[in-house]
Amino acid sequence: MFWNMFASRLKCLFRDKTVIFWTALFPIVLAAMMYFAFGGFMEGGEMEPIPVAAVETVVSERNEVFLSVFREASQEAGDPLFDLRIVEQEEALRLLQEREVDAIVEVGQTVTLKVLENGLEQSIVKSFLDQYLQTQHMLETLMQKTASLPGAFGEMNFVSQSFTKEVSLGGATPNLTLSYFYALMAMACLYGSFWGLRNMMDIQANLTPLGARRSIAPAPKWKVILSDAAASLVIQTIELLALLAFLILALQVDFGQQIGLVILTCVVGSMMGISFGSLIGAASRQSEGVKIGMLIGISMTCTFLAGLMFVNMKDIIARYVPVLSYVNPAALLADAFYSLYMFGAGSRYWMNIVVLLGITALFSFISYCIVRRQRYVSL
Amino acid sequence: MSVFNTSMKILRSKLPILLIYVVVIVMVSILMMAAMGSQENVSDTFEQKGCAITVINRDLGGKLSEGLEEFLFRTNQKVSIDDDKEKLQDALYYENTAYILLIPEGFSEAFLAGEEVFLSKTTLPDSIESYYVDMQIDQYLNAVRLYMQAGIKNTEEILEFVSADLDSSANAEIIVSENPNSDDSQLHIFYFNYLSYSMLALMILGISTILISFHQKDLYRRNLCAPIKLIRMNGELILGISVFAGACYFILIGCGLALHWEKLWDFKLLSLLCLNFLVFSIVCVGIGFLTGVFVRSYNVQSAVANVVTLSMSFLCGVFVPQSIMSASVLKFSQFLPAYWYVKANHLIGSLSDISLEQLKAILGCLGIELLFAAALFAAALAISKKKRFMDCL
Repeated sequence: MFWNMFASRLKCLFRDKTVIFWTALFPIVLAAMMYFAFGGFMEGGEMEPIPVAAVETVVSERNEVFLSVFREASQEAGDPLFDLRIVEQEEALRLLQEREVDAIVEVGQTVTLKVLENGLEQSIVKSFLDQYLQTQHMLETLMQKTASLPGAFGEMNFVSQSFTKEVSLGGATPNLTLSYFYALMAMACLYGSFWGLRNMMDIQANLTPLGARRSIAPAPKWKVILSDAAASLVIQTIELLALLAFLILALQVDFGQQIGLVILTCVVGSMMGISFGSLIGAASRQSEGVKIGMLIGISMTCTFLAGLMFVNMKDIIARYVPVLSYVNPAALLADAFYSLYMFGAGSRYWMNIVVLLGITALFSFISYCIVRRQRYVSL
Repeated sequence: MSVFNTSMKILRSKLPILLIYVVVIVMVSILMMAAMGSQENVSDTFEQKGCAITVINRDLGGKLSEGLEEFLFRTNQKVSIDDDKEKLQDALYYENTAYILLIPEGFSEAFLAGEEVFLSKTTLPDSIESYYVDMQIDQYLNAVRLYMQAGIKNTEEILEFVSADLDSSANAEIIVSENPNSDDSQLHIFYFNYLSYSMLALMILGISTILISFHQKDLYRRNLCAPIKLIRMNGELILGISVFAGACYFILIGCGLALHWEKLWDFKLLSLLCLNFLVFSIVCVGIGFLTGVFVRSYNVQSAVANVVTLSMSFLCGVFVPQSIMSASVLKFSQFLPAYWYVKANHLIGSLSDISLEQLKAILGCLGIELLFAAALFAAALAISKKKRFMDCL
């Protein structure tokens, strides 16, 4: 009996093209669009040399030395710091105004930096100039000091040395762009609510003719509900796995090493989405259109707070209104994917999953309480 | 005017859904204003721009590490985060800090004793910030090392010298720009870019709703028998669509004026932006018309509306600035009208004085948009004629 109902329900849901579009195709299209838009910085930005124009207003030996140091920094093998052009004053100003260079360095009696705006690139040029002057100042001080210590100057090593070493804090490489895709997965899970809503519409006699027909069928309500829920869970999970495969294989979005747990998160997310849709379907007495509007509105608000439109949103909420990130299912899902990627299966991941399961149980329980033992007045 | 009145009635029934798109753009605009409003204004003196860095100093009481820390915070912003791995990773991931420097225990002592010791850093891969901070740290420590090699033993004396050295700095000045920056920090340009999303959604939903209703097979046949000329029927439909498009145009611009009236008060700027938006609105009407001709059911309609508007907005630089999109995607986007609309907006935003050359570039974009509109209308008319003919059989 159960399997019979389950199989027919599965067929029935698979034929609902509109819901299939919103739950399966739409997230895939959106993911592709986001990928194209963010493609530029998915790979992590390589540092481009900073374009600088240098002008030698006074020719002197001292300035020649300075320019040769500057040139060296622009010709370093591998990754040069600057893209240096030595030009005349007017040409330099033209290049700056047309934003072909970020800064002009005027080498005259003193070294002067000319820029159009304050920015990190300009600050790096400034830092480089400062360093040169500081080293010059230092050498002068050293000359005075070592005059009393003969021989000391010769033993000094003037080659600049690097004193920092990159260490990983453990876990994966931070890449903020990933968060968009994690939030998108959360959205796809929440869209599972369309199935939940459809299930509830098809089971209540006062909402659809199909509901009326099924209400008089000689099958216990819990069995009907359960078979409906199981069928929609199967479809929703398949759709999410297709989206996941698309993200991982086609778009190369990194979900970390533990694919098994990523899939578990998808299943939990599907359950949560369906139970959310059921709750709206059972609790609200509005028309189907209004209910769909409510689903989309709530899903969009939740995913917005989880960072789908503005990626830092999830972090801002977590820092300033932490309560909200524990009750927002989209944020919990996005954080589950994030923590799996970043930290692996730790306490943070499991807490997200447990809270999600709790929310699912609560939603399902409330909707069951509403639809069980419903009686309709005979007309 | 029965056809016109009916089309208005149909639109009224869709009003709540249509209003969503007006609310969305106003909300997004307000949020962006709140998020970007706190950013500093353009200054006319040079300020060394630092980055947000976090220093975890485990070398408590070390003179050298204190000096280094003090030096780094002269130009960089301090972001205090607990010495907790997960919190540090979170901060780096969400780019609240760009550089985490860990000074190990006993660093000062070991360094001053001449041992080879290193500081640990964690940064975003290949970031310009990491290069910048590295440069500062190396400068400081290399200076200290040189003084040590010169035979100066007294730590305090060395730090004093270094501090004096590091005070020397190059002159820097800011030149007044002839072309104001056209970046996306200009909220009014952002607003107008975003308008394309709302307008497109409104036009597709509104126009196709009217056309779907009027072109239901039976209803269409029945209307053909009505004692009203086909040309009048179509004329009233066009009038209805035009009134709807005009209303949306003025409502959206009105919201923009209310939100950004300080910036948009400039007549030249406003008129160019409005002109560009008007041309793009015509393109939107064309897209809406084409959708209405193709689509027969309301379910398909909302799917088409969402896919078209979101794809266009993502690919053409409405949601993500064109400046950070990859060149190959932008090449493709040139085949979409919104690309030219956004491009024209940026050109207008960076316009300082109307020169013929700049105006030509802007008008070029507008011309391309008009061509798109013409192509869309031509396609829609051809298809609709064929379809209507089939329906009459």
